[in-house]
Amino acid sequence: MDTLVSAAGLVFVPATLALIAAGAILGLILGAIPGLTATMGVTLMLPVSLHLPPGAGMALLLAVYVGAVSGASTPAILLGIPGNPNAIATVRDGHAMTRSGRAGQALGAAALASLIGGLASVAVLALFAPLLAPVTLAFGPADKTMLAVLGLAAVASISSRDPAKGGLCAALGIALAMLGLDVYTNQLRMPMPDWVRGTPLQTGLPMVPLLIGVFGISQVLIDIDRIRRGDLTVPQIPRRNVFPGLSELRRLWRVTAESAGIGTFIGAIPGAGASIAVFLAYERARTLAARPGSRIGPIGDGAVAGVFAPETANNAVTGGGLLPILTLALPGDAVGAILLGALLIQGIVPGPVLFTQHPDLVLAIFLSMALGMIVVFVFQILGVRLFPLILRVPVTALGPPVLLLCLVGAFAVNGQSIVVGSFNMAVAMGFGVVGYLLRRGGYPIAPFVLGFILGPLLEQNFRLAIRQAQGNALVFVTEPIALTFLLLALVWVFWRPVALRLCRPQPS
Amino acid sequence: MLPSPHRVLPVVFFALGIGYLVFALGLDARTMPGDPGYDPGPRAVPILSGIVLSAIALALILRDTVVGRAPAETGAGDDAMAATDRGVAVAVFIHIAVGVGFLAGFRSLGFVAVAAPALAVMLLTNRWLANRQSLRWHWVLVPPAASVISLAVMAGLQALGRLLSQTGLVDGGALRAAILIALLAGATALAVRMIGHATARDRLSILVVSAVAPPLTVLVVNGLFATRLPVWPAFVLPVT
Repeated sequence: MDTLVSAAGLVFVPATLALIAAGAILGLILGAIPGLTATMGVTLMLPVSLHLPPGAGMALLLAVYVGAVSGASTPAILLGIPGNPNAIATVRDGHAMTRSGRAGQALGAAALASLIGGLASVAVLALFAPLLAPVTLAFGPADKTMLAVLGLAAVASISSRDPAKGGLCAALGIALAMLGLDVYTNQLRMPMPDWVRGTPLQTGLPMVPLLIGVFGISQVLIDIDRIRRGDLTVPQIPRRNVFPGLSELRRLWRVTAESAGIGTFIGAIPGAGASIAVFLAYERARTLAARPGSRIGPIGDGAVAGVFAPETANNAVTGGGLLPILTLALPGDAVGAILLGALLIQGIVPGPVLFTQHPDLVLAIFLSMALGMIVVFVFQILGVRLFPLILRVPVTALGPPVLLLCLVGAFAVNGQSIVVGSFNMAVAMGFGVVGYLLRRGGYPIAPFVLGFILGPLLEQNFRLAIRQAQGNALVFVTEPIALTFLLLALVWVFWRPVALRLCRPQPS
Repeated sequence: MLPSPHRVLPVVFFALGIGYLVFALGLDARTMPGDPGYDPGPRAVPILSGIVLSAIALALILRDTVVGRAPAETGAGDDAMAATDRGVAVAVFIHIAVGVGFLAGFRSLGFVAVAAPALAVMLLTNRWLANRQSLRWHWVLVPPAASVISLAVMAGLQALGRLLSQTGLVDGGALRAAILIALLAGATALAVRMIGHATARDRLSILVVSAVAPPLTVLVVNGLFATRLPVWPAFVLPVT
């Protein structure tokens, strides 16, 4: 009870509430603009969150995250263009509803589904995270090393059609993370160490500017290609009858429950991500609708269920995704990697210690996430006619201010000197170009970032494991938990190409 | 014809991997304090990652050249786009060049004086890309004009703040905050309004957005963060 009161004291204060509201609006705006992703929004707010207490900072990031995930449905429904990959499955029925003059109802259904899916996943998270966290106490350094390998393997194999490119990006991220001072020997691991010593490079590449570069600036450069597609026409939205009726909601209870379950489960699997969850939920809803005697109605031509299922699932992913982050320090996607980075920078190490030493913070994270979802829902309904106007902002005017904001955000990371600030901006700009080139070449960004964040943890545990095993490098296959993680990683890496080969249609 | 990143990147990664491997092998083989000789040392993971990096890059090169698999089969379609349009390539180059120029001039010329022309150049580039109209000579006046106007707006805002605090009109933090918020809200509304019009049609809007956005950013950042953005050129007020 004391923990609950303490957590409420962290969340229900005017400053944090204002941050949640601001984050929700920003997230909705970013989500609604095609090309500006949840990842970019969370990245842009990362420097701001570092100036706040951990609870308030996480509340801001989570509000932006859930806002952007929910906001992506707006262009999917109105224009048939998903704001980000989370809303791909919403396009078909959502846009069909718009074409048949039911855009307001589609937007209302999406908002309600987002709220239900999100709250359900937070409930699951609050229930299971404290149970799962103590299990990780049994993990030794060898197990933690293989857990990091598993996370990298999962993200690398799923984030691209080519697992080799994912693996290459993960290795590149780890390699760059190794630059700087070695924590055990204080050795400077940097080319031309005499020249580097005494400069900001001495401590290695800074995480936040790197994230801002690869996610924010590279997105601005990628979006330049969209400029040539021209402006978009947004339909007028009626304010009345935006919600599906009670009878319709009753018919959709099973679709909603299963979609929330699918989203939460998929979100908790590292590397799986929302785009898989939404299609699974959509297909499941279609199966349910196609059953004899089903009262859901056919999906695919503008059915509310066709909006409800993917929107419930993609918001359920947000809560499910926090489960491995808070318990295992294992992010499942790019946003998860940034959230983990935000916690680590604040000196908070996820795992069982977090649940025993900072239970109020954990509870505050759950509360602020749930509150963020409610606030997003309220703003979505209040702004059902307003947010679509965001889509009228020309693409030509978006990129330059965002690029400048990214550089300013990199400058202001830690309130440091102007020299360090300028160095941070240069890192952000440099990695913006790197991220752009990677994406142009079809290389996934998420494994690169995950490798960079998990690299130091992986190295520390790797060295500790071998030292504890008195130099025996076979410790990673003799420890049962480590071996299990290793086998899972191998399955993850080799299963997908085999599955793709098996599923490929044979030429007739 | 621009070289495709799909073809070039594996070669770059291979060279990078080999270079990194050489660097990692050159590191001292120290061990952690108190270790009886079991610690693999600070070279172990860098060497492993260098090997993985160069091995995968080599595999990609061999696969693309010897086996000759199509880009669609090798994941190039996930994030990669079709061959770059020359105009898009030019626009990307200008954005990167402006970013680098911003970094170069930021400390000596100050944030406002550099950010305004940087914004103007990028917005004008996007305008050109969207409409493919030929450039007019008087466009070159927009960036310096944005810089001058932006500095004037910044000076005006600072003078206003100083005046209000000296005349006693601002009494207490709450009132000061209220004035700041009102100022911010008004200016933001103006900026948003102008951004809405900053399409290919309106050169004046581009000028106004470029001139107003940097002082606003300074107000917000210097109010929120411990770090201060350098506002004035170093020869007016030295940057510390």
